[in-house]
This record gives sequence, structure tokens and C-alpha cells, in this order.
Amino acid sequence: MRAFAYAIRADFVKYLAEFRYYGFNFFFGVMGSAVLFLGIVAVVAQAGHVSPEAFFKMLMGFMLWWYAMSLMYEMSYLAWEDAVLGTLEHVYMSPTPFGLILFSRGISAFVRDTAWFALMTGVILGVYRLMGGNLSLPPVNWAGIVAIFPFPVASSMFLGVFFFGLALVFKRVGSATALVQWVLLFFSGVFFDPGSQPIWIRLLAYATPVGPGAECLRRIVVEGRGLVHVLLSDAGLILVLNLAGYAVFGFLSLHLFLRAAKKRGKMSRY
Amino acid sequence: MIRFDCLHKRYGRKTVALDGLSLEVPEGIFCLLGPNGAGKTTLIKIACGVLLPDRGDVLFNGESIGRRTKGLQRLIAAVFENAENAYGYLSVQDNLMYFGYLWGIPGRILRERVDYLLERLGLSDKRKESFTKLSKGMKQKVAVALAMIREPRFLFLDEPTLGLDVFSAETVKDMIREWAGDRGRTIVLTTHNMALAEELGQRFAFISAGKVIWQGRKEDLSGLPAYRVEYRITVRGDVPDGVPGKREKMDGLTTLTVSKGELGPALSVLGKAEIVEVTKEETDLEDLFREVLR
Repeated sequence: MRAFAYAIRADFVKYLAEFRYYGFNFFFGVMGSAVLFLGIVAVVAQAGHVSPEAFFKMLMGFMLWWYAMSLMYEMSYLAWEDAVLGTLEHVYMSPTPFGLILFSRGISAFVRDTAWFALMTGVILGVYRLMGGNLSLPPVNWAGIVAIFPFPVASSMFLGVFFFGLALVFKRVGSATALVQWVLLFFSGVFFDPGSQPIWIRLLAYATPVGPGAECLRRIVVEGRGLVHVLLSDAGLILVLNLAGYAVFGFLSLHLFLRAAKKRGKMSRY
Repeated sequence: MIRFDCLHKRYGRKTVALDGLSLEVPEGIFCLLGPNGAGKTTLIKIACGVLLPDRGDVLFNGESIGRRTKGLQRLIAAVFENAENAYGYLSVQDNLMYFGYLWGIPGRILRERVDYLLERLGLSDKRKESFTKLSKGMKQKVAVALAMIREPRFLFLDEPTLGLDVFSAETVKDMIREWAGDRGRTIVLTTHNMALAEELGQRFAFISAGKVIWQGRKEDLSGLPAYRVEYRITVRGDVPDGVPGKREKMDGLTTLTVSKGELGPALSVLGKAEIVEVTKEETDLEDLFREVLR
């Protein structure tokens, strides 16, 4: 527990400094994402009326995508950067377990991304109002949303761990993370109901770390179902299995990639 | 005590980095010397647990690095060559704090150590500076501070004075000496700077092509076949006949070069001559190293 506290503290020290250095880039990255979301909503609205429930669900789904994208980037890019700088070896040599360091990085990224998302939501809501959108907040089952959220975020973190391992062994995996992030955005049910899609898209959506969470949120927010009802349904089962699968996948891939990196001498600069 | 036990490491099919290398490193400063590609850096990386050997093991007081126990990890630190060893966008102080926290050093103690090291290395006025803005020499000093802040028992230094000016190099050397002075500490130093090795080293190992060619204490260097000691006796005027050794005349002075065995007879014959100076010249580490590897 103490090691975890120190690791979290260390990462916050690092992120605050990183923010001072890269704050400008972060800000425009966030604004770019806001434009992307509004653009997609505008396209969806062309096809028909966007209800406040549907808009709210899209925003929640987008938030899940945002976390997933950030965690993948965080883990893969930083693994590469660490290896180039020579800091990865020192981080690995520390008595704090490596998995815990990655977890603390994930937590720090989650906190930071939540703050950025709050800013982005403000911008999105402001522009959406200017676009003539209906912003009346529907009755929201906050408890249900809060209970569902950790599942896809944790699955995304484990996918991030996989990309961390991948980045250790292979040089740049940025293009691979870019491909996955667009698959997550357009084929995981963030903007549509996978149930109304062909079977392969449905399977793809449920296999992503975000898909099952987005579907559970859709049932809670759009269909107005209760949390227990959703958790006991097929969507709830898929949500739990999805997390379990990603956890096993994440740990196993980290173990294998770390071993391969140590074997091939890839822990230091490429 | 660090024991390198029959280490084998190959990169790809052709490059053999370590070829059954075995070595015992006791407390104190141990210099690992060898030409480029001898396997020094590979050896250090394996010892730090960031590179896996194909065969063999490294034992720290009997405990294998492969087990990666928390207790052992806490005792090991390194400065790696050609790596920046720190985050560019973090300040010097933040880098030290980051790694200090990862090593589980409590905040108050950590801040004291940061202050001490920055002061000692002459970096106090750079504590808020981004690492990336520092000169190469300063970066190297930060790398040394990052290793020392962990107060390790086993410290691996790969070219620790590379890029440092003479004053900074002197400071780092003093710190290494102080560090090794405490009981139970081991420093493994690799360098191409023979003067540095000669100055700091208490024990040496010459390695080449992944094998140990020679190892021993500083005193044992004189036992090497390539080791020679000569005395140069400078006298005013001429040297009488019958004095052994090689003589050179210049500006009314004669310099006589004799071996250790010839010194006594030479001095007894020179008894009445005016001796200006007697100097001793030994084969230095660089020449010994060259001879041993030849």
C-alpha cells in the first residue's frame, strides 16, 4: 500500500511537471477531440432527431473512448519515450513492483483526463447549444453510471498495459494505437446501438474494452433500465467477462513482452 | 560481494557478448576494463536485472538478481552510459523526487538527500531547471545524483565522468571515494579513462570478447609480466665507468636509467657524484592493459 502511495505520488509529481511543459499541446488536443465529437453528433443529427438521452449517452460513450484512447497512448508512447531516455531501466530497477507503477500511471492519467474531459464537456455543451441542440438534462441514474464506469475504464487500462508491452519490444506502435482508437470510436457502440448492426460489428463492439460498457450505459440512460437489471442481463455478463478477459490478456502480455524485451536488450534505447 | 557466475549472452546468432564470464567482486571500488564490445555494459545490465543472460546468474550476497526481491532491488543503482537517465521535461529536483519516491524514500528524508546532493554536485542553482536544458556535463552529474539518492549498497557506474570538466570530474571522484569508504559498499566502475581507473580502482578485471583475461588487486598489477619499474638518476657531470644502466647526456647533466635490480649497485658507484634527482617510473595501467590484451 505504501509503495502504491509512493508510486502515485511520484507520478503526480511527474504529470504536474509534464503539464507545465506540454500544457499547450494538451489543451489543443482536447479542443480537437471536442470538434471531433461535435462533428459526429452533427452527422448523426442529420440522419434524425438526437434526443437529450441519446446525446447524453453519446457523451458518456465518448468519455469512455477518451479514457481508453488516453490510456493506450499513455502506456505505449511513454514506454517508448522511457526506453529512449534510459529511464525505463531505472523505473524497472525500482523496488516498487512494475505492475504497480503502470497501475499508478493509469490512475494518474485517469485523474488528469477527467479534469480535461470536464473542460471539454463545457466546450461541447456551449457549442452544441449554439448549434441549436436540446440540452435539457434527462432524468439520469447516476448510481448506475458510476457503477458501470470502472469496468470499461479498467478494461482499457489492461489494453494499455498490452500496448506498453508491445512498445517495449517493437519500436513505435503509435500507428497501431491510432488504428485501435478509431475502431473503438466507430465500432464499439459509442455512437450507435450495436444490437441494430450486423453480427460481426456486434461481436467486434463487445470485444472492445469500451463496447460492453457503452451498451450498459445505453440501456441505463436511453432505455431507462435499472442497474441491477442491466448487470444481470446479457450485457452485464459480457461486461464482466470483458474485464476478466482484458485483465488476463494484459497481465499475460506484460509478462511475455517484458521477458522478450529483457532477453533482446530492448529495455534501453533503441 | 557480487558473484557473476558463468554468464553467457549472445545478441542474434553472431554476436557473443559474454562467453562464460565468471567474476567475484568484493567490497570497494572494482574497475572493469576492456575494449569496446568487450561485454562490460552487457555485464552491468545483466547485474541490474534489465537484461536476461542466456545462461548463468548474478548473485548479490548469495541472492540471485533473477528473483527480483524488493529488498535486493533497493540495494542496487546504476548510471548507464549513453542514456540520459532522467526525464527531459522534469526539473532536476523533480527528477530526483520522482525516483526517490519510486524507491520508497519518505518525503522529509528525500528532500534532505536532494538538498545535499545538489549542493555537493554544485547543482543547487539548477534545481528548478528542466533537465533537457542542462549541459552534457550537468546531465551526467544529475545521473550520478539519481543513482546516489537511493543510497545503494551496490553501485554500477558506466563511464561516470564522461563529458565532465576537470572540476566536476574531481567532485564525482571524491563522491565515489566517499561512497566506497563506508563498509559493505561495492562500486563497479567501467571506463576507458585509465587515469580514472588507476586513481580510484582497488581491484581490476580486464575483459575481452566476453571473458575475463586477468583480475586482481591493485598490488597484483606489479606481478604482471608486462609490468616494469625503472629509476632515473640525474647527476651533475659525467657518470663514472662501471655504473650499470642506460645513460643520456644533456646540458651538463647525465641521466641514468636503471632497473630495480640495478638501483643498489648504481647508487653505490655514484656515491661521490652530485645526484640532482631520482625518479621512479612504473608501467601505467594503460600500458599494462594494452599488453595483457595483446
